[in-house]
Amino acid sequence: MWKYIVKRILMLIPVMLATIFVVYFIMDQSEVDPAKIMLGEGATEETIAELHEELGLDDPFLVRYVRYVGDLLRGDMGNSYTYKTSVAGQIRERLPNTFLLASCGVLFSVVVGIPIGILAARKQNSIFDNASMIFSLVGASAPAFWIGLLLVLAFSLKLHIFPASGMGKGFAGVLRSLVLPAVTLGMSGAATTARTTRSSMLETIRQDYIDMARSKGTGEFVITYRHMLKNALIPVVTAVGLHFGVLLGGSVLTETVFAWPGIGRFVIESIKTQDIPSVLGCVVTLAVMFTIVNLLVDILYAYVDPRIKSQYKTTKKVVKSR
Amino acid sequence: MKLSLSRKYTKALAVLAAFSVLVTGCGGSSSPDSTTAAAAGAGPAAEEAGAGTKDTLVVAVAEDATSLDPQAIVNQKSFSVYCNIYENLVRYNAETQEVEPCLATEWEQVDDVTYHFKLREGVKFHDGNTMTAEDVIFSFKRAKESGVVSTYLSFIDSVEADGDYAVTMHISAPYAQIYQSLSNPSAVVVSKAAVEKYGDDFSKNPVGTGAYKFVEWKPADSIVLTAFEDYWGEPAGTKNVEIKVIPEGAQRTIMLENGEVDIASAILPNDAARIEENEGLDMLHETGYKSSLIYFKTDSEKWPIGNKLVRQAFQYAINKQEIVDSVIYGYGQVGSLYATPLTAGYNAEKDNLYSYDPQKAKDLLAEAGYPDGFEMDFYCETSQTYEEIATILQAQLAEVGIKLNVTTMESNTINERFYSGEEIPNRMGFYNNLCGDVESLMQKLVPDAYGQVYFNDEIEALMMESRSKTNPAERQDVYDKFWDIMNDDVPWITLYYEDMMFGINKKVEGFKLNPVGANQYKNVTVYE
Repeated sequence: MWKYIVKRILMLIPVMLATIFVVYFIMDQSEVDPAKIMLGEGATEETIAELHEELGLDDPFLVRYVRYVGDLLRGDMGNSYTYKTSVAGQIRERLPNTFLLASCGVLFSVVVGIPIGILAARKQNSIFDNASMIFSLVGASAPAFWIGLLLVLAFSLKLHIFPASGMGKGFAGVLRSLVLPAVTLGMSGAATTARTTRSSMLETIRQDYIDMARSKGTGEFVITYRHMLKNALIPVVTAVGLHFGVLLGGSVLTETVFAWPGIGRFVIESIKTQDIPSVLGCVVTLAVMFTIVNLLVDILYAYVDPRIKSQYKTTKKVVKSR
Repeated sequence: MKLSLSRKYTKALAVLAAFSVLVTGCGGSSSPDSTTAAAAGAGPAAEEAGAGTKDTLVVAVAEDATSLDPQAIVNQKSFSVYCNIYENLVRYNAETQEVEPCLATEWEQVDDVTYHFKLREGVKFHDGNTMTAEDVIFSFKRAKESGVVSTYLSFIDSVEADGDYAVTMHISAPYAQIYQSLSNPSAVVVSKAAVEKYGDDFSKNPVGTGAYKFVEWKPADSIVLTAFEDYWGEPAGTKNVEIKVIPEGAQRTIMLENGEVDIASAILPNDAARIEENEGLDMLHETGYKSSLIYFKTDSEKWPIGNKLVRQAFQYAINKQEIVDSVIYGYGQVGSLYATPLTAGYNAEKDNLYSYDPQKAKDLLAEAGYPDGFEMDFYCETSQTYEEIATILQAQLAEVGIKLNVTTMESNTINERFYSGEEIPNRMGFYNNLCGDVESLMQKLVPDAYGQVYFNDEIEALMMESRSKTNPAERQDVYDKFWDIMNDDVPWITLYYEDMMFGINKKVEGFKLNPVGANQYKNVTVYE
């Protein structure tokens, strides 16, 4: 198992190099001169030339790429063209906010999606089943900004329960301001989780061992949660894990509608303003995080499905015996 | 493995979420709640903010500041915040068009190129140091050396101290508009000690002499200021100011309606009527220094707009009132000059000389050699307002035979293409006159201005002449000559003078719009 984890982490290196190369190349194709962005309207030809010299902007592409990777290895992501401060600092300020929002969004999708999926499968073709599938369809297809605005209209403008936008202060303030964006963000995840859980449960429900458990007189509750759900959970874990990875990339729409100071907004603003160091810094951070989340999901499989765990064990033994 | 797996997973996520709340919610926040406000020092404002008034003014803005270092950045989103932290030697009052004292109490013009400023004594910086001539000299020197702002202070040759509380400023050539330029957001005094202490981090640790001092900046979320207890002037009306970044216009309006914010800036024109109808709110809208424009590549040989008759035809072919009514719902004023009515040097008699007249446009096109019109590319930046304007222009110009092929792209890319490299015929945008005087506009139009696409040697001569005229009436004559050239050459087309759009709660008192967008909060009081 450890060998697998180390291998996965080592695989990050070529993935990162390639990712940075592609993004660096794309940003380099832009016609916009970074020096002009940094100097703004007050730029003169002399100051632009000086800045080109200072930042080495006229060096060949590969020289700049290698220099960037070298700086990155020393933990230096460079300075943002827009904010004139370190990119790492900007990311550090925003990443916890995105992490919090993504965690709560996933929590919402799990807490809502899994029970709905279970009940829909248990009561297949009932009114509840049909209603839950309509919920899934709407939840998965409705755009986040639309759901967000509806929630704001209902819970903020009419009922005054939650703030319309922005991140609150202090523990209670953050929690209050988190509800609407987390629900908005988790809605499509809840819908997908409900559908995945339902179909996976329906497959399991027809297995022989379920009939066997029932014939042995096991209670329905135990059958559902211990025998069915445990086996039906693997595709759900995959779906939720991937969803979490995607949400960590920052949801631009939700973060914008709710003025949530996360990394999604930062990436988009940086792309718009051609702030190349910020875009690259975000991409590197997100690629690392996405890989880690995937790795965690893989590790989680081993706990969910003992068969996978045993595969790792077998491999280990074989290696040892050699 | 007694727990069911789904519960285990859920529990893990719940712990994760709770942990994150602790990290971001508790760890990061150090204000602006009452606890922090109390810790920040009970200044005069705090003592006065008794029963019936709130101790925090909450303002919603559309964009976050990019730096709080006035000598590193000059953009409205930044100076609308830092103008509360720093102060200039003098202030220019746009309404009275007079210069008022600030950090300088008295000033005199010694000769054509020498000015003497007597500094206010006993002014403290937020870090506790006393402001002296050394800080003033340091600030101007730093601004002159900054690639970003040096152009705004290029008229200054040197500044030297006359003791601790007086400075002499030498300028390179006579400059009648010097006080307007010294009032612009980059000409402020920073603490020398703080700049030396923080170095590059000064942008996140700003230290000035203003009525408010900096407390905290959470990027993309909020900036918190608190009243400076040792401020030399009248103490601030509200103890804390929290500036929240809310990018969505509709959300800013909802937050204002909900009472979550006291002032909301950049109100969308389609939300303004809702605010006006709300009994608890006021909709403030006034013309500032900003005009919405089409810039033409006048030196173009490739496109017909290189011919001034064609540009004049554009002026006659555009129904600007229709644009103002349908795109910005009437919250603007039709105009044709590049300076708004508030700007010193504006002349109503020179404005709107081109009224909507498609027939005249057709005649001019025929005279220019395009009797059947022509087809041209038209570049428009990605923004709802500009795209709507481009659509209307497309329809209006089609009536006189000009077929516009509209291409939409990011503004940075358009600007780059317009000013260098591949030739494109136009760009759309706005012009905000930071000094409030036509001379500052002329600086943009002189032939050697960076990225210039309009070349007329007369402009430079007029600019220098205007600088030498200390008599306002004589200066206006020079400006009028400039307007005549602009009306004839039409290097740019003004569509309208933009209104500054602010929604405020009626419980807010003392808030006044600043024409540059450098809004001051020190006189604002918020009642419960």
